[in-house]
Amino acid sequence: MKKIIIFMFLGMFAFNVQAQSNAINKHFSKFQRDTSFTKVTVTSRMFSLFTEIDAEDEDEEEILAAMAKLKGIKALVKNNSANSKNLYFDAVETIDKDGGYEELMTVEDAGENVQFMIRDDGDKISELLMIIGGNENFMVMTLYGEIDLNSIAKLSRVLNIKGMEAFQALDMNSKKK
Amino acid sequence: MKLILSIILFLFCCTVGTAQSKTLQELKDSNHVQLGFYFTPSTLRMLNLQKDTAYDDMIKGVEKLSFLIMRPETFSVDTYFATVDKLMSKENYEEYIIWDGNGDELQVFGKPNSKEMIGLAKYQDQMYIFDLKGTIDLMKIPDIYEKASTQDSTSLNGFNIIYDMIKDDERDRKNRERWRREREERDRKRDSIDAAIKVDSSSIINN
Repeated sequence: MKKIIIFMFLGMFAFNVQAQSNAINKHFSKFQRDTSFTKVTVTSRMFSLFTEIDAEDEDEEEILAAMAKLKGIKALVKNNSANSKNLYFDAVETIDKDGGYEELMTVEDAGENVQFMIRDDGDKISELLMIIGGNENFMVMTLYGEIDLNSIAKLSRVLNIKGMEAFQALDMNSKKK
Repeated sequence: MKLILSIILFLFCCTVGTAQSKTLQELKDSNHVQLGFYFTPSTLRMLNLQKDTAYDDMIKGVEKLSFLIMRPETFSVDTYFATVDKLMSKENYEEYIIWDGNGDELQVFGKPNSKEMIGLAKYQDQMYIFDLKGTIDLMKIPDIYEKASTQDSTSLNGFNIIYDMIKDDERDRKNRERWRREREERDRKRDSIDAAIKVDSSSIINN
C-alpha cells in the first residue's frame, strides 16, 4: 500500500516523452510489457499546474519555479529483484551507447550504485537521468525540461519522497563546482 | 485504508473542474457503480478529525470530489480501457499521470484550462474512478503525506470511516454473491429432483 502512495506522489514530478533520447525510450519500451516493473509517467500538463500556485515563501517560490520548468518525469522501477545490479549495468551500457549523455556523478559502493547523467541543450540542462541499482532495487528516473540541479536537489529534500532522495547528492556536487 | 487516503491525496495533486465529463456522467448513471462517495467541501472537512490545518488548507479550493467503486461483475478491464479511450478520443482529455505496476493501473486525466480532473484506477481486481472539481494546494501534500506515513493510524480516523464503509460494502457484496450461488445451487438441485420425480411418476403411470 505504501508503494502506491509513494508512486502516486512520485507522479507529481514529471516529463515529456518526445523530448527523450532514443536510448531511454528503447530502455523503457524494453520493459513495457513486463509486469514486474513499475512504470510511472508524468506529463508536462501535470507540471503546468504548478504555475498556478502562489508561493508562500522564497523556498517555495524556487521549488515551484523549478517544477514549472519541468516537461515530464518518467520512471522505471523494480523492487525485490535479485538481479538489480545486472539491470543497473545493462541500463548504464544502453545509455552509454547513445552517446548523448554526459556523466555527472557516480556513487558506487557494496550496497548500491547510483549514476547521474545529463543531456544539455546549449548552456541549459535539458535532461537529468538517474540510474540506481542495488539492495534488490532498481530504478531509472529521467526528468526533462529545463533542469536546475540546485532546485532539483532542494525539491527532493523538501518533498522527502522515497527514490528522490538520491537527487540530494546533486546539491553537494554543484557546491563543489 | 491508506489506499483511500492516497487516492484522495493523489487527486489533490491535480486541479479543478466545472463541466462534468459526459463519459463520467454516463457511468455515474449506469449500474456499473457499486458504491459512490460524493464529497463537498464541508464533508471533506469532516474527515479531518485531527483538525490538521495543512489538510484544511489543501482542500480549500475543492468544489466537489466523487469517488466511485465500480462493480467488478459489469465494469471489466475492457470497460476500463474503453472509458479511457472515450475520455481521450471523444472528450479530448489528456493524460497527466500514468502509473502501471504489478498489474495495477492508475491514470489521471485533465484538460488544459479546465477545472476537472478524472482518475481511473485498477487495484487488484477492483476498479475505481475519481472525479475532482476545484483546486488543491499542491504544496501541502508533502506535509500531509509525511504525517500519514509517520503518525499512527489515529491521525487518519476520518479516512478510516470511509475505508471501513468500503470494506463493509465489499464484504456485503461477497456475501450477496455467495448467497446467489447457493440459491442457484439449491434451485438446480430442486429442479433435478423435480425432473427425477416427474420421470419416476410418469413411468409409474405408464406401468
